[in-house]
Amino acid sequence: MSELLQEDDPATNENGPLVEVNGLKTYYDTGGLFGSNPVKAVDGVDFAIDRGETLGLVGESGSGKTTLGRTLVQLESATEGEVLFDGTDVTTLSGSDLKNWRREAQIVFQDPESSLNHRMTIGEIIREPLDVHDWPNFSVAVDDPEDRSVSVSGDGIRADPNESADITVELAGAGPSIAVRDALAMNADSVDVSVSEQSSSVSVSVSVAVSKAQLRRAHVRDLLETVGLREEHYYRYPHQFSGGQRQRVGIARSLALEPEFVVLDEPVSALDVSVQAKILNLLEDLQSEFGLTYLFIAHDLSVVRHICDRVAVMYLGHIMEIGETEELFQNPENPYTYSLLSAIPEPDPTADRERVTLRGTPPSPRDPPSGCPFSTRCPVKIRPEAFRDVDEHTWESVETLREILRERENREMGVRDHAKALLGLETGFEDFVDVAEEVFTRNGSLEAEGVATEGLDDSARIERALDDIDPVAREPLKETIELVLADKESRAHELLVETFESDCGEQSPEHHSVSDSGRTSYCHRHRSEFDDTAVAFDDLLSSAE
Amino acid sequence: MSETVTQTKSFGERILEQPGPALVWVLGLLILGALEMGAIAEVTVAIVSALASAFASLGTAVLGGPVLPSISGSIAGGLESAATVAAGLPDLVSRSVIPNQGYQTPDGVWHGTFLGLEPKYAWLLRVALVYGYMFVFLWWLWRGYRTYVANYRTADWTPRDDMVRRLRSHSWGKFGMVVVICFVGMAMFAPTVSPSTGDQNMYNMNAHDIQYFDEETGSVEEISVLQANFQSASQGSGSQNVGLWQYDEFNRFHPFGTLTSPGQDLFTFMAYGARISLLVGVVAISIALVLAAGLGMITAYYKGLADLTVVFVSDTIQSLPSLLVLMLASMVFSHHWLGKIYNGGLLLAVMFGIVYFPNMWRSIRGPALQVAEEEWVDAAKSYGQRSSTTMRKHMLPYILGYLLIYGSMSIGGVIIGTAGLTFLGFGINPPVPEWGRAISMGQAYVTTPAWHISLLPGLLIVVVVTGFNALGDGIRDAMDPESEGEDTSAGVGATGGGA
Ligand code: SF4
Repeated sequence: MSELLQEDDPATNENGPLVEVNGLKTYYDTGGLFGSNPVKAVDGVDFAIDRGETLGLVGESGSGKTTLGRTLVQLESATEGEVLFDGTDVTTLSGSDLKNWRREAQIVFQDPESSLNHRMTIGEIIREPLDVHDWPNFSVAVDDPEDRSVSVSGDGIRADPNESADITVELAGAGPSIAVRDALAMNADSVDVSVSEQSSSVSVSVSVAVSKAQLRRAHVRDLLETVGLREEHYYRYPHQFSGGQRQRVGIARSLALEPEFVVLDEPVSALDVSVQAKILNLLEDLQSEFGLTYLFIAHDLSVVRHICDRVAVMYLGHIMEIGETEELFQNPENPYTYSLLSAIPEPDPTADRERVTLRGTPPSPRDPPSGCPFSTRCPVKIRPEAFRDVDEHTWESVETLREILRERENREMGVRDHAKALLGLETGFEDFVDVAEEVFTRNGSLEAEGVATEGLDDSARIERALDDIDPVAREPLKETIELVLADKESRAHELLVETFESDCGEQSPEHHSVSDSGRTSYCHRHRSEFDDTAVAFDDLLSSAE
Repeated sequence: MSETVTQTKSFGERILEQPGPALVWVLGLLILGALEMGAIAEVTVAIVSALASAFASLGTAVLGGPVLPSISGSIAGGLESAATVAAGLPDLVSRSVIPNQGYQTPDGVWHGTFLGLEPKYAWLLRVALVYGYMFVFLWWLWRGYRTYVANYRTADWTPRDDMVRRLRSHSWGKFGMVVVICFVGMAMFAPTVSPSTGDQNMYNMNAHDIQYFDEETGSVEEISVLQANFQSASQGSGSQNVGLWQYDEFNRFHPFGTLTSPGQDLFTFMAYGARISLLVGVVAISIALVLAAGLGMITAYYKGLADLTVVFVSDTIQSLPSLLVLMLASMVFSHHWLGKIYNGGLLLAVMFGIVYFPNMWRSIRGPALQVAEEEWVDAAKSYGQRSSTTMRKHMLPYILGYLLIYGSMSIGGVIIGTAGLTFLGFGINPPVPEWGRAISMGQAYVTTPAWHISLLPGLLIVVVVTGFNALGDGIRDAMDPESEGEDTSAGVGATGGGA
């Protein structure tokens, strides 16, 4: 870190955010063997984390939250964008700069079973980072009232002015007085300092009587106690511990190098509920003791509400909404956040928020939808002018059909499909009429509606099924179905998109500021011409009744 | 804080604190060492001189002339005097202490043998002593480990303890271990356990004379070993046969009988042959394992292009018919310096190593990929551990067991393969003894009284290969408790087949 900061311009803002992420993208499988689509795990996010705060990062699995966390600690390399840590873009670091920076940012993993090497003792595990970085480096700060230039020799090196030094030598008074940082288990008597003073310079030679190995062992033992384990656990193996204890070991390891920033990747989700609270309390205690900054990744919203100052909600590689925890939980502005929160049982029975169920599963991050990432599932997606007043069933049917065609278009075609397509053979939909019937009828099939299907040919069946659909939408849907039956699926999909698409699927939304506290939400509904999320949901839920 | 004090002690300090058990053990080790001082020194000198001559021949071959003759000369001189010193050291179970070669006068008295015992008893005694010594020595090493665990280890439990416990209760694995130890002992102590010596029996028959009592002349006569062997060769007919557990007409005892012309002692041949088999097997498997482990970890850690490259190379190697490649290589290199080291032994070992590594790598790849996915590997990266150290510390321990399993299971295949190639006339050239050659020499006599020539080496190969496989099974079950009690032929390890 020391070199790093010296290279920096002095404008490093001590009061600015510790971590600032700008336009970050992390793609997997880029430039694969067949030039296939990369997985867009993180697809352009911006946010900042202030010093000492805990930012929660929530989302379903596959939302890219873990990849984002891993990119922040440089376990994945960013495809685009920057991660500023104390003003330095760490995505460009390499070699020893990267290694030095790693001391500042650590990660606690989700699975305590997998994060500790079973063949090493707890002591060795926690000690390894110290060995890698040759901790402690015996940085020496010289407090010289006359402000001369200082050189340090012997066991010590000159301390970085921005860091707390291991050894502080004060030159005022009769002889030099020596102080040793608390984290080092030795007292000042073990340090021998000889000072030679010139008029314009001071050279300090330091020799330390305690070996680094001893200091490391002592530090590991301190850490064990700090995380609530006992010293005698030093020589035990991970198998001799419970999940909660192992997670404590993982936490101790991440703290060994005294980092400023820790990514907590679902640190309690693999643990028993009874243990979770203890670990969360420990994390909070450690944060206040060491002034840590956390990125807390979770899918359990109640845990996030408990521990985080601010929350970012992620969906398909994008941050949908980010803001103060309480505010966001009580008054979600983004349709995705709204749906997500409505899915958890409300602890307050008087709250009038009703449950919204999300249709389908998230699309693959290889083929994210155009426009808003949530547009394929959003219950309150903005409709084009012409269809604003069609009934809920019609709209739902249209969306479902679009999703089916979209998925068929993006599906992985096997070699056989490719060959068939090349030969102009049919790769089409085999039972499309059945599917159409299921999608368009209110009850799922004609039979369920008491219609005798016997003797009906395909077009008659479709005609009957479309009876349940609002007349405004019937014509384009019929045309679509005919195209599909004529094996022109992509044309059919295009037609559907042309007819029923709104801004949601055409343009990426902006991050609208939605409250005085700086909360932002990624949704078109915040534009003045549309209804707000809450209003839209109210309409939706009342129409469903 | 009292615990802190006990825990900071180093290994040395812990021993000083409680020196009793350690002292007892070291004392025992010294006594055992003293008994075999001569052998230990001889083996050391032998290894050093083998290495020196290998380097010298390498130098000759590569540079086209002797490298620094004066230096190699002085080294050779030094080694010779070292060998003399070594020979003078006491050695409990050496053949000079318990000689088994001698002659019998008509009064029934044996001359030249240990305490005038009959040669077969003298030989048996020596063999028993050698094996006894070896097992006591190994047991003492094991006791040393137990002493360390009980008195000096800081951890009261390690994951290895469970493996050791499972291996100890695995009788099939223990059987394999005993077979392997016996085989390795036979190879290591070949000069001692053989009734004759390699030099006398195979390499330099003409330079040695033996004394025997000639009934026709009624006196003790001398004859060169070459001639004696010719006359005592097993030719398959009743009068021209020295079979199992028999004496020949020169008062020499042959536990396994004699070979066909030129009539060497089969047991001596087998014991020295065990050295070749073991050497080729160990070198080949080491090459294969080092390649497989190194590439396995690199491909698992970096994936992508590294993986593809190795897949391509190993596929290429595997698509070749390995037996033909091996034969071709033996032919092509037969006059090359590489083919001359150890009469083709080294060449064969290297070739086997290359042929065996793709399979080994494929077997290692799964476990290696699995461990590379573990979060502790990511953790190591997150605090900046070097990738080579990560592989060594966080991946290697998890594939080491697999390496041992596949190694011990494939070494049998190499032994069979070497024997097979030698049987076909490729592989290891005479006079270096190889079991396959014995089998091929006796092939014509299997239906005659000289059946022992083919049968015994064949049986021994089967036993040794089974032993290695059993050991591999044992290690596998010790490593992975889930496979315990499973059908031993199923599961991870493929048994070692032919080349
Ligand atoms: S932009 Fe449209 S689809 Fe996306 S969340 Fe807002 S309303 Fe829903």
